[in-house]
Amino acid sequence: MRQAIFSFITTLCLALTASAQPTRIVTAGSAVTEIACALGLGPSLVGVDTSSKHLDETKELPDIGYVRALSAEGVLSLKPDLVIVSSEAGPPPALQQISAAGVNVVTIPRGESLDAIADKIRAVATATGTEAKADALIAQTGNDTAALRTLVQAQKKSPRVVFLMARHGGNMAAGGTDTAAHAMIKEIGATNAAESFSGYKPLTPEFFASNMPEFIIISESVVGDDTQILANLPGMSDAADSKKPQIVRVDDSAFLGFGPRTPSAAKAVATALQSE
Amino acid sequence: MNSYRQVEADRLSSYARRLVVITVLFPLTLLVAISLGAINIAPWQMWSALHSNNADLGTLRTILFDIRFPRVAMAALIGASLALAGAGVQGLFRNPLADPALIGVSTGSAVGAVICFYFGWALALGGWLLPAMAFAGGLGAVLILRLFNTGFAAGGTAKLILAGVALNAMLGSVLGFFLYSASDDALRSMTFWTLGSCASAQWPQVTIVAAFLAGGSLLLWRNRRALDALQLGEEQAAHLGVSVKSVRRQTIIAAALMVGAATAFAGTIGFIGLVAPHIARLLLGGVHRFLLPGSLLLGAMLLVIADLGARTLVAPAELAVGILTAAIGGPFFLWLLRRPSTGADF
Repeated sequence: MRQAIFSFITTLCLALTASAQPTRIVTAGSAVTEIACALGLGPSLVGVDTSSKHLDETKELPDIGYVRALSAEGVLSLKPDLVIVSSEAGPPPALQQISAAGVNVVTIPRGESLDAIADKIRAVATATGTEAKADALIAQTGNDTAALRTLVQAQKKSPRVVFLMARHGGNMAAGGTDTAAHAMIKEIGATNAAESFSGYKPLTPEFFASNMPEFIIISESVVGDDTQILANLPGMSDAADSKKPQIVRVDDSAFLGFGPRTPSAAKAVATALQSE
Repeated sequence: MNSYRQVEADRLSSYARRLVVITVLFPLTLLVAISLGAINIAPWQMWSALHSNNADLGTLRTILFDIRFPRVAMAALIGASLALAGAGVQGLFRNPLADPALIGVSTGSAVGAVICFYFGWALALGGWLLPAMAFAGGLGAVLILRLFNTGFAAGGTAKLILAGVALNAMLGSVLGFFLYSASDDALRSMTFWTLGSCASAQWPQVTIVAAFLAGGSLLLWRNRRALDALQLGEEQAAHLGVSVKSVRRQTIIAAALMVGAATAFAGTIGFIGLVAPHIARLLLGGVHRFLLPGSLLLGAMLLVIADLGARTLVAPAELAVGILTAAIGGPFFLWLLRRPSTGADF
């Protein structure tokens, strides 16, 4: 009997110490969510933002909306004990209201470089008490990044590429400087053919006449086969077949997300560009 | 003659009764909106949350005081501002399709806001630069209108409408330029802003909108008889001793201030300014003594209900309230148009 009571109390104490660790977590920002899941926190997630719904662990979770337009009350209704957001999350009043209600809100810097990924992982781990698992994850992304850089250094040529993003109405916009795509094109040792402007700009027929790239990188979610997509690009029909670029498809949430899957996704693209 | 007077008196007293009903419904709408949300709080829970020191109720208290109260107050004040401005502008132009947007405030505010997003200033000055620039843009547009339409007087109201159309087109092209060349994140924020939201409601913002609403409604209320006289036509109103120029100036100033302040904090919210005065006209007739307070209350109720939908329909996420006002307002407006006689009560 005494033993039973003792074991009951022990279990209770264990439960209490465990409750110091967050058990109901809300995340916003796809890199933050991916890191949380990679650290084994998937079962503790109770809500994620729209950009984080692509993972198996998060598919069925409540959607708290667009990362820049969160609703304080909506997030609080999920009764979280920890909210981890990427630094672009907002609006600021909503985040203030959530912490005013006594919920711990942790902001993770957005850092758009491969070297920033380790910092993000460490910050998420510190907030969730999962430092032990973080070391392994940091080592793994570090190795992936090192492997990518070795591959890129051994490259003989720097292919001209352009990243195209599908916009509404079937139009394509090219990623210029100051985009995640530009940063990743540099990382895979390629040259951005759309360096003449910043941000995403709609394609014009002149673009391909003066800037014909060797490769076009698009999201794997773009519909249609390669010849169809090429045929629909403005100005492409005037180009000789031999000059037409090749299409490389990527999982854009991994390739452009600057999360734990980014280095290996980048390595896959770099390999695809060199294999021709 | 006597019987005509009797009929007229009956009509007015029935309008007065309806205004009383609307005035009673208004606080009920507020109460419902305050108790519903992503977390539902029954009125009795509300009472204990406000009056006990129980820590468990602390979260509830935060939700009520810091989130729910300012949010519902903001929706009511903004709906009232937009509807009242709409009633004033429709009375001034004697045009049921007139909308505060006609004098360029909304588009001007949008230009101010979009410039803010374009240069990444949306969070500057503790988040106050964005409403300041939107407000400045809105009033700036009205000042430009005044510049090109000398004194608001020469050529009269028709010229003002035409100048407004031209100004809106010009501002629209400025908007288009910034939308076209914006980065993706900025574009997303611009789209959200132009669909409107009461989500950034906090007490300081609520106070400012309330102050502008108070000023604007006083200015319009003072002109209520002049606006009635204007319905006979500008010339007839002038014969009745109304200074058309002064009514026009004061109505436009009132509308610009109210819509400017509302838009600064909530983005552009469509249809309230157009539809709420029409509902008021349908229920309360075209006399501004009833029409102005009726528009104010109905506009407030409409936006409070639309905002309730915005924060509950897709909870825990949120919808842009502009999507809902147009979704509710559009069909209602069409229905009004196909009713043969009632809409023409002015």
